[in-house]
Amino acid sequence: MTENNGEDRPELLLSELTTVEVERLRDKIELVLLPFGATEQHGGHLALGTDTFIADAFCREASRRLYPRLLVAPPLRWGLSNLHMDFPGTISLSADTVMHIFEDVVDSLTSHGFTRFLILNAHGGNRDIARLVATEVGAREGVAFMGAVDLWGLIDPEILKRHTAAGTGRAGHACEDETSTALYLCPQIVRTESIAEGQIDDTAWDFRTALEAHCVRTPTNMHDLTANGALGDPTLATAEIGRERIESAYAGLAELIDTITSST
Amino acid sequence: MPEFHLGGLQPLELEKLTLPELREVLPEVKLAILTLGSIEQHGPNTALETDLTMAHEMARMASARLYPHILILPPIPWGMSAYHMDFPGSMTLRPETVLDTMRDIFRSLQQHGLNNWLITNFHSGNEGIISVAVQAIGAELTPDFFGSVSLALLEPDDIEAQVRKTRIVGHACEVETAELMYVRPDLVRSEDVAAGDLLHEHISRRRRFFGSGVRLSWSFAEGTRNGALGDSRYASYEGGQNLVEGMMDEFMDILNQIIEHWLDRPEPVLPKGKSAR
Repeated sequence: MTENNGEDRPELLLSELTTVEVERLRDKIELVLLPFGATEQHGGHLALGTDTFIADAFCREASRRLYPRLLVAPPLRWGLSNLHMDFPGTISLSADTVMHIFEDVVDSLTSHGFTRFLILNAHGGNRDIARLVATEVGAREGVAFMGAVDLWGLIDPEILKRHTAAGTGRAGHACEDETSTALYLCPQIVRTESIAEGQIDDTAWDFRTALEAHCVRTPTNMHDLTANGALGDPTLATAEIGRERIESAYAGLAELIDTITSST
Repeated sequence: MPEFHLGGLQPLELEKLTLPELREVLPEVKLAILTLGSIEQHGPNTALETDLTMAHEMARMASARLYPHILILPPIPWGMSAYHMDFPGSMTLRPETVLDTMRDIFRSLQQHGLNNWLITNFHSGNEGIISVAVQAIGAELTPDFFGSVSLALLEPDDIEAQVRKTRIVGHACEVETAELMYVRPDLVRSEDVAAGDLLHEHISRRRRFFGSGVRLSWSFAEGTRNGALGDSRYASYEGGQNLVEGMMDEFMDILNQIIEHWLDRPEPVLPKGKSAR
């Protein structure tokens, strides 16, 4: 898969099709992508829907490039964001609710003969529940494949390593990595004039890092970790870094889809 | 995509704001609107997200007209569509999933001090669960204001009579198709407009109970082979514009009354002769 490949192809979004079009395309569709975002503060320079916009834009473009192999379901626009609740505007679902929504979504689509599903997650806080959903929902009737992948998990590890080395080492939210991704995928949600370094509390950061070194998972209130809601240093972000990350993720996804469809 | 139906105005949308932008505007926000949509078959002529789009876009129009007093939340795309599942692409939530999702969303709003909520809807199949949600979640979370509006019921009778050309309308018909033409023309397949392929015997048996207290379980496939009612070949942009603007007049009137009688006046005015206990 290369850039600008298949410019004339349309995106394949379930909700924008008619029932007749779904019927006509059904046998050509190999897998349904389930974009998983969030509605939560993203510092002073990114919109609250950043994770949803990134997941949605990535899945749309992937469906265009691989048309008509991938069908994109309506994105889940909220996730597990309870660590951000001290910032206004954040909406958080419980893990139970997320599980039930994915169960209903997958049950609806298996009833029409779709059998392979991949959650495309763009929010770190959703990672655990997305995996749990894959485990639980994957056992349901009519499902031949159910997986969950984080967007950054599709990027070539060498590129990730290089970007991490060039960054602050304190990335993770509204940071240089995420801002670069947004500048490439959905620049309309970036307020470039408001980009500012994350106001990280060193004590809270060091405690979190020390726990991670012991493989301990513990909730860290984001308001305690960063006063302005951002981590890392988004002033280092560029659309070019975003392009490198996301083009690599498209290639990673294409490879993953081939692997899935050749074995299930 | 140009959004002519917004008339050059911008709605206030939670997802599109940054944290500082939200903080600045929050003291002005009087009401938060959540759309419960549906992803369900709408015949050969209109997209699966028709009801979601109609409800959400009319909420956005209202938010743009009353800027910055109405905050638009990310919509719940799926609703109660079990009776459309015989048609490919339809999706449905269980009622408990709808209630859980709404409860989590409104509880989140409450933590930010947003306590006035309105649900908008364009799908008759959602009316039951919305009624339950307003009662049950309202009693549980005790917001200052919580209500719902079924926007499709706001069609002015005189305009509807002009647009409507057939007897049995209400889904993917000339009326709804015209409305969608005005709001999101790209979701209408003008080359696939068609008369509803109705199963008259079944429909007339069901219509026996219209307007009565009787409710029947059914599949939409029992009433129409192509999923449509009416005849969308009669749909026009002008008809849709008149209908949607007519519904918006009603909707704006409702919103202004809510603002005047509830949101700007936290204590109810008691009728003469009665006193507060």
